[in-house]
Amino acid sequence: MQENKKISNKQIRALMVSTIIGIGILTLPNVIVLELGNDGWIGIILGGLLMLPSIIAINKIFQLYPDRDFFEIGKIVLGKWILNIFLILSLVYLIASMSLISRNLGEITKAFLLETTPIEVIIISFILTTSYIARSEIEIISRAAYHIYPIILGFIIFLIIVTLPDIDLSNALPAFQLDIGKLPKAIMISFFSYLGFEILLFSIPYVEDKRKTLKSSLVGIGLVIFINVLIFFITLSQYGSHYLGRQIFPTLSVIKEVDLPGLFIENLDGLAMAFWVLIVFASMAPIYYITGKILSKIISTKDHSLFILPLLPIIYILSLMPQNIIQVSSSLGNIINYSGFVSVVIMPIIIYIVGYLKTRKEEKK
Amino acid sequence: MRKWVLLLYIFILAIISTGCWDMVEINQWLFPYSIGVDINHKEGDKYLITISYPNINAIGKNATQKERVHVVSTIASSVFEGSKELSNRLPYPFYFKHLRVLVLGKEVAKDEKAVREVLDGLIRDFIINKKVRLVLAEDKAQDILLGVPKASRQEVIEGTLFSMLREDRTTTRYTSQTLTEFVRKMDITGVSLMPRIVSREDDIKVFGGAIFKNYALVGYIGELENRALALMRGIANRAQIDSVYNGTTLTYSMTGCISKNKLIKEDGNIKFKIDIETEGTLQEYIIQDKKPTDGTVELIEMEKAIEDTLKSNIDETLELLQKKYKADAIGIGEYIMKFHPKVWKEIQKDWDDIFPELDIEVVVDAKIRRRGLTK
Repeated sequence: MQENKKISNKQIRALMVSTIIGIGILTLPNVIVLELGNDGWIGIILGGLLMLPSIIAINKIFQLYPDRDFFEIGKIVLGKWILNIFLILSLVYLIASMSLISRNLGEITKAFLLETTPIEVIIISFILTTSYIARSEIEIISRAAYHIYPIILGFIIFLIIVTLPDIDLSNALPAFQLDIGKLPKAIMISFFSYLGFEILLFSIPYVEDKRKTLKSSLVGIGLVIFINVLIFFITLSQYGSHYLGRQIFPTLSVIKEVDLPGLFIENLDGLAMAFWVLIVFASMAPIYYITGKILSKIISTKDHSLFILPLLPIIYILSLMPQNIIQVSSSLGNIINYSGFVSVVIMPIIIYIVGYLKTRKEEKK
Repeated sequence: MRKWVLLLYIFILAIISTGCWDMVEINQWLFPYSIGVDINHKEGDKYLITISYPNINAIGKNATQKERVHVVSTIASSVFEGSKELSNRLPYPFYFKHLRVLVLGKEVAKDEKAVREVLDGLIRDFIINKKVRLVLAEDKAQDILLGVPKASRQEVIEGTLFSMLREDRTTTRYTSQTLTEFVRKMDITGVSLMPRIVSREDDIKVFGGAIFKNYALVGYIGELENRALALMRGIANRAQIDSVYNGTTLTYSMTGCISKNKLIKEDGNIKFKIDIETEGTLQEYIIQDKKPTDGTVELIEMEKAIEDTLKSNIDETLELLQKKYKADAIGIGEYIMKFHPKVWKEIQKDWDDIFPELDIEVVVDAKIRRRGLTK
């Protein structure tokens, strides 16, 4: 590893927040409220906590084998073939989620901002822009994430301030009317909003001070949980659970509700969309980078940037396959949920457990 | 290699990102203030859509035209079809982002399906601001919109109707209703309100309220009933309350109001209690000849008189809501749902039958904090 390829722990935190927070933030309050009602926040928190073992496992892997990157460790622990099977599954997940992101971005931008622009153009220019940054190395992506991170936090703060006059906290009542039987499905739903932290697998080897990485990645996921819960409460206290169940994009709808007296601030959805496109960009770029990286490892080339542009048409075509917005979430969403679960939760944990056993064995000898 | 890739990028991005499909100069849009919806009784489609929008040429110092508001109507099967239809006739298309008021005609309001259709269209639309104020016309929505230019109050920028509806902060004669809130209330208890509007010869007046149950108009309340309702819901801000004390009219200017709800469970039966606390100023009484007494006794009696007025006002309103309309416009159902979810689960299904029989006790506590300059 070269000396200048270093990422700070702050950047890791930023990278996690900006990668995980993406399209899910617009729809999460709605889908979770349909399942759990007013207690949706429990599902959101539990969904986030479910990620903890795998985040810890990812961090521990790199403590077992310091100074090696993920692919080397995987090869040592699982062997080349098993690793490749996992990697191909990851590819399915990554490409599907990129298509989902692009399609959603296209649909929402078209609906809210650019009515007559063809969706194909929106999608392809978005993928092109992302592919530019995806060609660079991880430290550049994490620097970019570090700059977008305050924008995300700013967006949330902005959202709180403008919605404050209309907030009625009694809408969040009654609390704790939980139906335990519905919890697993709700966690499954919120799971999708937490995908994206697999970027840790590819960024931790380049971190300067590895002792603090676990802490900052946990702070990162903590921030994400906090933001998701906050957005849930903002939308819930504005709408109440019945009406929230109607809204497909509650976060944007809440912004449309803003109507401060004096006609000074209203119709902020355009502004919010501009923020949101940046946020989505920040979550798409690392995923794109990982995809290129994995492809280059499977085919054993040195440079991942070769694969970025050839991926573009695949993402583009796949993103235009679903016939309508309902199909988008049902078909692509299902692929992502299952392959994502295997590649970001099961794979790191298996690698960690097997690696742990192997290193113990070697120590004993 | 790198150079070529970079060049390719610049080339593709330059083609894609120059120009804009959606570019429309701002003066080539029409920004409607209000939409009126009526049922069309003549031949053709179901609705008569009326749209009013400002005449940009009549605004500003060097106005070239006199007529400030344009009102256009068409017959169409839906609001959006109507607006498309009108766009063909008018110089520019409509842009509904700044739409402020939806006026429903009386006939539309009585037709549950029509109300559902119209509101769904507005709430589903990406562009329309969901804070659109709803208002019910006494007769036809078209008459109201045509009457607006004649009103003595004129607001060109934000629209006359909207500026009137927004004034509900200083009065309890009506309570303005937004689209979101209307549907939200409907979702919970199936009852929502919207103010009424009437166009007289040379003026326009917003007053009272219309009760909607399951998206259909079931009845009206007047200004006094609306005041009582606002007091019970705790949303009344400022109001003038006239009552009689010692045979003279006593005017009390209310400056604040808090209402507290309470559900009392007594062996299986439920009772509801509303505590209303108002505070305000003595606005007008009568000049007395003798040296006025400085007694607190008198003040307390005055408070009592005000309380009695409000109490009878509220009781009449409750009678009207419970017995005549059977509509929970007070939001009692919502309160029970939020704070007593277990009770709500039991009674939710039969709420329509329970509400008319519900024992509602109202306690009014009026406080005179100030009494003006004279004793």
